[in-house]
Amino acid sequence: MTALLKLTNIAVAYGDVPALFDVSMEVKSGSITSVIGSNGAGKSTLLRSIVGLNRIHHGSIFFQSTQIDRQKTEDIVKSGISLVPEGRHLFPRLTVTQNLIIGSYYNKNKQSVLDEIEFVFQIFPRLKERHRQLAGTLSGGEQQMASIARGLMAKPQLLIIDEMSLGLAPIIVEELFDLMIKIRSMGLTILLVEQDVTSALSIADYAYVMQTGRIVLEGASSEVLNANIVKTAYLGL
Amino acid sequence: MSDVIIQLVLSGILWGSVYALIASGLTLIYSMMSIINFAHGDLLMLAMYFAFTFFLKFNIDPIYSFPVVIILLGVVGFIIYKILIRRVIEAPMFAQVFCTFGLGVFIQGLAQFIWSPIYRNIPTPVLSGVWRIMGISVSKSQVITAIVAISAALLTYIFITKTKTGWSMLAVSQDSEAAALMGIPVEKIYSLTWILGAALIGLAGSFMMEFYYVYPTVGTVFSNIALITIALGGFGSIEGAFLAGLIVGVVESFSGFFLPSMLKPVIVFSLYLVVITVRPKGLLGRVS
Amino acid sequence: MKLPRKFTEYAILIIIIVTIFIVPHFVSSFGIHFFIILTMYAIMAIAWNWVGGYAGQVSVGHAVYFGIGAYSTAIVQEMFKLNPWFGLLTGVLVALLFSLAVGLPTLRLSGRYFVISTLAIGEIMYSLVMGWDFVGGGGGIYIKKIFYSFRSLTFTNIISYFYLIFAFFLLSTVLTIWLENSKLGFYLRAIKGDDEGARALGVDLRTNKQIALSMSAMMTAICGVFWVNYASFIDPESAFINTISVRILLMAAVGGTGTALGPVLGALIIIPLTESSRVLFGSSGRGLDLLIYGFLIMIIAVAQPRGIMGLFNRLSKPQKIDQELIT
Ligand SMILES: Nc1ncnc2c1ncn2[C@@H]1O[C@H](COP(=O)(O)OP(=O)(O)OP(=O)(O)O)[C@@H](O)[C@H]1O
Ligand SMILES: [Mg+2]
Repeated sequence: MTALLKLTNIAVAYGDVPALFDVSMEVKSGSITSVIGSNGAGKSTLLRSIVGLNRIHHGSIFFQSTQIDRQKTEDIVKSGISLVPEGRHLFPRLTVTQNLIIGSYYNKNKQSVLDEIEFVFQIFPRLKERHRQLAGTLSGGEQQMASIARGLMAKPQLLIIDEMSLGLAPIIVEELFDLMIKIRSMGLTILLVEQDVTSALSIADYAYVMQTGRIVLEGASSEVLNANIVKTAYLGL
Repeated sequence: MSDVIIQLVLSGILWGSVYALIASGLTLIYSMMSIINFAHGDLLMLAMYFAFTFFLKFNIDPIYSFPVVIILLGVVGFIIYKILIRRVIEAPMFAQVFCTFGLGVFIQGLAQFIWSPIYRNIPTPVLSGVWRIMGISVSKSQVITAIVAISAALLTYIFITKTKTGWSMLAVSQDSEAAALMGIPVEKIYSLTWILGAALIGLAGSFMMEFYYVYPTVGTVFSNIALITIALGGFGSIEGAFLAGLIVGVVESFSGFFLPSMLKPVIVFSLYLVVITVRPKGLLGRVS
Repeated sequence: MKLPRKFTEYAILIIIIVTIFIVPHFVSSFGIHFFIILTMYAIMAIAWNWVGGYAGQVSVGHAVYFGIGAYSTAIVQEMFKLNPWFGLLTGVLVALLFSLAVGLPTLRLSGRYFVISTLAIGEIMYSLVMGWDFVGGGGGIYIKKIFYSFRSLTFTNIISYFYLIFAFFLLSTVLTIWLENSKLGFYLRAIKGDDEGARALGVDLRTNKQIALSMSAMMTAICGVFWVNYASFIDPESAFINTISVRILLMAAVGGTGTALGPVLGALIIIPLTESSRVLFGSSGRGLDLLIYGFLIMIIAVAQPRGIMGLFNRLSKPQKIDQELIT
């Protein structure tokens, strides 16, 4: 497998306060890659820098062998990366359907947009019931579903999800993990940040562990799962 | 007496629709980027001077030159965004306030430099004279202007609420970062907003030249009315601004009839204070 | 350890005080006139900053308090033939009452609605006074100076006017320093930072905002009182016109709102700028003064949106996150 996404020695700071130091990672094409780490470790910062919402001041980011770290967010997204941000960030005064349509901003083919909407409605029947409701009035869990659905609408090559299971009932979370495996088999590559470490590692091929802005461990997910540091710090074993 | 009342309501609505059109450009820009453009009236003044210049130099009446004036204003709006507004989007509110004040002063100076402080009007506009219907007379130019204003505001509304580009504008206004994540070119949407907002002013200015006069500080009056209008309607509410524009027009028309004309502004601005006391978010403002 | 942190501010303040004390002895009476205008505007910017800067309630109609001070005095002195000191008292009292009447409905509004209401009140007062024949309408009121003495607040010597306005300047500066260190100042900053948070802490938002507004109104009214007695004339154009309001706002903004020194710095920049560009280019009648003035304002807004004081703050302490963007 070749690397779809490659980060080399990137560093990011908020003002004068550094948040990422010298982070390097690779996401292989067709894989599920997982990033775990405690609160404030810099996971969201990492994902945000991939799509250009945070600017790196050192290092480089390559997507499909094009350097993207100087590109605008919209161009990065256009080239095939979709980020489902932490905290949903729906457009509160647009309806669910409008949110989804906006999610496929670059798709000019009306029919394929409609097909895609049907597809995500199959995954989240709940959203179909509420498709005319303003997104801001959905429940927290429904908003999370809508946010993931909106991320799928772009039909990206690389789907990045920050805190996928946040605020969702366990049964839905389980379905989502199954869904990730399913969409991976459809050719998508997935980069996942997840609190539910066991589940995340069980579906992932490869994993990175972050601590205070650094990658402290990486490896095949089964290895990472058995590493002492993960056992003590995240699994409470 | 009822004739008088109908007359007053009618002329109020005619002026009110002009206010509504002017306010729609302002509220559009506000809703998109939370910037109150205190130079809005000065853009109107610029549009009026453009229309006037076409008349003066080429003898073309505003009702023919307005498409060009609209384009010119769109270009001005684009330049203002690119050079100025883009740089203060992240600044605190008062910096945005004094920045657009500065812009207004600059445009006034420019107008004085180019056109001198003299009051100008078009002596023989194409749309002159009045229509009389059942004892009520209305100026032709104002009726046409009102129709144009209402259609333009309506078209803008449809554009924003029914087209995909309109939705992406709404998306940007509600969460610009998430909009960027959807691949929406946020910068371009902002530019588009300024082009559109200024173009609406271009339309208003062109048609106002049919029945109004222009001088370098004419914009201040209309700036103030437009600001009151969008606040009265509720910040961020495009429908509210339109409704408020009509209300302001009617109230002004009545107070102009029953009171000395000097007190017209007193009534209009007091109206705002009264409404805002009862409804702190304006008529149709969102209570978030 | 309060002083060292604000060392720059106090140091520059001392320089300004020294300059202003010395300069009048060297320049012509036109020069002194200029310094009087400068000082008067500095006071108004300082007063604006109490409510606009510390409390974050941006006013774009502050000229009303100047006008109210001026007109109250003019009426008391010219119509009722009372002593100017009485005029001063009246001006301040009327401004206080007016600020209470204004504050009651408007201080509970959120930022942008408050801004527009100050605009509305400014326009209302301008039109009212324009149409009020008792106070001369658009023609204004002339004050006849009869006595020249400290007791009647009128002087033959222009330098005395300078010292009078400078005394008021010192008063406003002392009040600012008091405000910075008082509980009130702390509450105001809390309100500005976070309305909800301040409420949760049990801060009475409206009372604190009202105190700031009333203080500001009275101080600005004092300038109006001074101006009438200095210029012997007042009309709606020179009292209530919104260019005065804009200028006040600009000075505070350019210097840096919410800082003790900002408004003074702003006055030192804006007043020479407007006065000199008016003298140099204004006579052409071609608007060059406006072009230059407007251009420089835009430059400052872009280059230094937090005002000149933003420069010092950046050097001395980490920037606070500004939450007054819009509530
Ligand atoms: N906008 C910001 N300004 C300043 N500091 C920030 C900002 N966003 C994040 N940080 C800081 O950067 C560090 C990393 O934050 P980040 O959000 O990337 O952590 P995270 O790993 O996603 O945590 P969580 O699991 O809680 O989501 C934290 O110390 C955080 O406080
Ligand atoms: Mg996070």
